[in-house]
Formats: sequence, C-alpha cells, structure tokens
Amino acid sequence: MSSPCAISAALPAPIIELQGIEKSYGRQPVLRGLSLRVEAGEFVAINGRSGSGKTTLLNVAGGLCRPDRGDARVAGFDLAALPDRALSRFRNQRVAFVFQCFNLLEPLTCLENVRLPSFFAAASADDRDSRGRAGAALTRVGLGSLAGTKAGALSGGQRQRVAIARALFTRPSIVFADEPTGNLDADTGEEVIALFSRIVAEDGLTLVVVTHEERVSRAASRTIRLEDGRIVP
Amino acid sequence: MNRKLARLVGENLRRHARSHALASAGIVVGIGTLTFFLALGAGARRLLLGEIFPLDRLEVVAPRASLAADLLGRRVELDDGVARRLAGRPDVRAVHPKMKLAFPARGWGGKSLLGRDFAFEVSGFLDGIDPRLVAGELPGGEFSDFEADTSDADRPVPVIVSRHLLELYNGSIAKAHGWPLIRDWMTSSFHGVTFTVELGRSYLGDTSSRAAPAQRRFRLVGISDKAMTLGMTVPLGYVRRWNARWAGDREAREYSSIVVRVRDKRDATSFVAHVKSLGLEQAESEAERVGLFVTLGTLLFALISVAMIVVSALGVAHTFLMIVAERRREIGVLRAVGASRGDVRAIVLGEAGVVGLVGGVGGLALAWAAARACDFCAARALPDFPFKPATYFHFPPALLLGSVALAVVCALAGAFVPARRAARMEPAEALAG
Repeated sequence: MSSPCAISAALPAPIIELQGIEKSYGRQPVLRGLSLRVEAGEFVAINGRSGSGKTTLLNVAGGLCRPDRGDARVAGFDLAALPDRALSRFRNQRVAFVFQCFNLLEPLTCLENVRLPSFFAAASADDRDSRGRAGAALTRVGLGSLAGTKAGALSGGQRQRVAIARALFTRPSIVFADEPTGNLDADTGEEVIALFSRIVAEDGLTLVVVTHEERVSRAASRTIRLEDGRIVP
Repeated sequence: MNRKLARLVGENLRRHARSHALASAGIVVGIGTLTFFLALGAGARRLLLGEIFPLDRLEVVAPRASLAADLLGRRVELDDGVARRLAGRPDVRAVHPKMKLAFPARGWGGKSLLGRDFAFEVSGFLDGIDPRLVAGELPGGEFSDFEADTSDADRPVPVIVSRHLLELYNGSIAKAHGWPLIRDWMTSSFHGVTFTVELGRSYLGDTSSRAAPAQRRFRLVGISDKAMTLGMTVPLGYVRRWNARWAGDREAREYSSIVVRVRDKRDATSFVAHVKSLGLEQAESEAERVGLFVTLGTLLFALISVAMIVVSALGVAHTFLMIVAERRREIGVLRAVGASRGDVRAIVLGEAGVVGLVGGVGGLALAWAAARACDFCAARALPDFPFKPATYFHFPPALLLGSVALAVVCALAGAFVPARRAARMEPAEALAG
C-alpha cells in the first residue's frame, strides 16, 4: 500500500490504472475484465448505453465500491488493499465526485455543503480557513453571494455549481462526474461544461466524466466507449 | 465526535423531529415508570427502614431464660461487661443499655393537658437509659438523674417519650378521644406535663413485697428516638436504684437489652454474627422482613418498567431503521465525501444518544410530576396515621443519573443495528438509492 506522503510531491503517471476489473451485482456481471489508463491532467469522457457499466467504472475508480477482481491503482493508491478508514480518507482528500442529481444536503447552506468534506477530514482543519476556502470555491463557480442560502432553495444549475464547488474544495487530484448535465437544460448544461473545462485547464485536474451527451464528449480530450462492461475501440 | 459532526447530528434531529419525538416518547414512558417505582421504593425504604425500623439499629438481648441454662450456669447476663465489649468493636458507633422497671408500678395525671386525670399502668411500660445518650437532643440537661445529686433529689423524675408514641397519640388516641394534637413539641402544652407514679403498687393487684410503695412526681421533658417505643423512658440511674429497692440486686445489675448502632448498615450482618458468638441474640427485627418486602415490591414494579423500556428500545430501533432507509442516499453522499463507517455510525448513534437523553430527562420529569401528584392526592385523601410522610418518594442523585444513563443506553442499544446497517452500506450502493 502506498502512503499518501510518498506521493505528495509529484503524482505518478498514469494517475488511474485499472487492470482486469470485474464487478457483478448479484449474478449480473457489470464490468468484465476492464482495463483503463488515464494520465494526469486528462479530461476523459466515458459514454455508452444504459447498463454498459459506466457508473460502475466510475465508482470503482473513485473508491465508491470495490471490484470483485482486478487491480485498481488510483492516485498512487492500491484501492483493493485499503481498509475502510484509509479508503474514506482517499475519497476525502484525493478524489471528488459530481453527480447527476447533485446530491447536496438540502437543509445545509451552500457554504456548509461545500465544506462538507472538511467534516470528515482526518486532520481537523482550522474552521475559519475551511470557511474561507469554501467561500472561495463558491465564488469561483459564481455563487459567492449565495453562501448562506440553503441548498434546497437553489435552482438545478445553481445546485450543480455548488456540487462542483464542493468537488474543488479539497483540491483533489481527480474529479469524477456522473452525468453532470443530465438534469440540466441545454443552456445550463453548456455553462456547467464550460465551467468544468475552465477549471481543468486552470488547476490541471484530471476529470473523468460519464456522459450520454455529445457536447460533453466534444469538450473532452479523450472519449472512451463502454459496451457490456468492456471498453470498445 | 467533533463539533462538525455534532452539527450534522443536530440538523438530522431537527429534520426528523417528529420521528425522534415518537421514539423519545416511548423512552419517556418507560424511564418515567421505572424512575417512579424506584423512587417509590427508595421513599418506602427511607421511611420504613430509616425511621420506623432503622436498619443500622440492632437490639441485643439475652437468650430466653431456661431451667437447663440456669442449672448448668450457662445463662448469659446483659451487664456492664457485655456493654463494654460491644462498644469496643470498631463497627459499633454507640451502645444504649436499657433497663426495664422490674416491679409493679402505676401512674395517674394529665389534667393540665386533657382536662381530667387519667390512670395508667407503668410496669412493663417504663425503662431507663444513660442520659448522655440524649444529651445533644434535649436542652439544658433536663434529662438528668437528679436523685443522684441529693440537693436536687426532690425534682420530678424527667421522662422522655418516643416519636412513635407521639405519632400513635396524634394518629389514634387524640382523634378517638377528641384530645388536642401535639404538633410542635416545644410550644405544646404536652411539654412539662407532670403526673404521679406510685412505685411498688399496680392496678393489676400486684404489690412488691421487698419495700413499701412510694410515690414520685414525673415530668415530660422531651421526645427522642432512644426512648421506649411504647412507654416512657427515664434516666438509667432511677431504674437501677428502684429495681435494687423493689426488685433485687440482680434486676439492678442486668440490662433488659442493649441497643447498638452500627457505623454502617452493611456492618449489621457481621455484628449479628458476633452477637451470636457471645451467646446473645438479636431481638426479633422487623427491619429485615420489611426490607425484603420493599425490595421485592420494588423489584416487581422495576421488572414491569424494564419490560416497557425494552419495548421502547424496539421502538427506537424501528424508528432508526426507517430513518436510515430514508436517508440512504444522503449516507452515500457522506461516504462519497470521506465519511468512514465509524463516522456514519457515530452520526446515527449520536442522534440516538440525544433521543435517549431527551427521553431520560423527560422520563424524570414525568416521574417527578407523577410523584408530586401522588403526594398531593395522598395528603388530601389519606387520613393522618403514625409516621405519615410529607412525600412517599425519594429521588437520590444516583437514581436521577442512573435513569438518564439507562435511557441513553436503551436508545443506543435500539439504534445499534440501524447504525451498523448504515455504516455497512457501500457508498455506491447507498448513492444508487
């Protein structure tokens, strides 16, 4: 198992390396010996039909579920070997997620949603610093003025911006986005894609996006197509 | 749990206030019932074993006289030597030797209090104790052996009575005869009442043959729990001299009993064993039987209450299972941003802890209110009786803390399975809803 300190200075390339990943739900195989390499700083779009395994691939790479077989090395970590607490810390510090249905905690304010990862940070960050960084992330996505607003009171586009701000808050190495524009109208979807593209360029993040939409694939540096749990050329 | 997680717990409690209130209600009823019965048991124990049948007070007596024991010379006398041996034990706080009047006597008086004199038998209802035992209780050395000092020999014999007798008088005799109640001893006309006792002569026809009868004036000077329960008590010196004059030397030497106060109730068992090893006996004590009765009664009601608490814990479990199912996606989000299984478990158990705390405090409030209501009703509805207490309940701090702690434990136990289920969810599975 790699220690986080060993990779703090320079992240290894490839930043995501999946080898022979298999994953089933019950008797239904979803990923069938899938292998994938993603270099640091890439913007990769994953598309394919429903049930092709796109979300499961994202979940395995992001440490949201464990593969049944195969190796998953992400940001220098062997995910299969990490115990729960270390895997949680990996999700807290190394990667971030943006979901189709935003997944904000509606009773909390935008600021609290953005700094939610700090609630579970291993080292208790200074509260004022955490608020400052969350505020800056909100400003970056154009919602600085809505910091104190409850997430439940926002529009769909605003919610997705808050979700992006939350993803940026911990300065992760990789952002995984699952259909980030799926619940947005065309114009708002364009805005979100533009925002993603700008942030990837500015921060040098690795972005892996599952999408059905052509416009998202066009913005990506590489597109991968999945069919029946396998990558097709 | 850090402050931020506490914030999440608080928010969850607010959002699910109704479900949590329902879960708390079960705990309130269960803990309230348990606390009520335990407080009633503690109150009964305090009244019965603290005042009526004190557990730390044992009465040592000589074994019943038997011809065989007398012939074999094995009769044990309760004399000064035995009293000193008992007083010398480290677990003994004090010894109170008592000597009963051992010859016929009768009395009359009370006109100043009751409007007319009444006659009463004294033999069997009078004993003597060392005045030093009540020195701190009665003012001005009124309870002294004045006869021992020849200059005061004509002063009336000071008499004390027990609160038991006073309660009996107030609760039964005064009511039956329409006589005045004795509420405040010191300002009452009961204090200072004098009457006459004729030593050596009885209303039952007996007359002492050792000396001619003699009359003495007696004066009530106080009440004390060291006085004879049903009768009157005078300084020991009087009884010793009177027994020597009207009954004989042996009656003037031998105590009727020695009341021993142990330092701690827990010392009583070992002390009784020591008493038996000396060939003496403990006078039949109601305390043990009463204590057992109170304990069994309390235990029975406590068991019923515990059953209610178990049901309330199941209620908590049901509520939290529903809440966890409802918050499945939210738990997935927390896991996605870095919450470990332990964090999720801490959040669910934190909510349960608050539910238990609120339920525990609510249960205490319910028990206290029910106790006050019972006391109020009892004060109004029940007639006066000896030792009628102002409250039938006792809420010691340990009971209060224990009840709240039990409520928290019960809620945590109820939420244990839901918390484990929430913590075991794989983030991806939870996010899928």
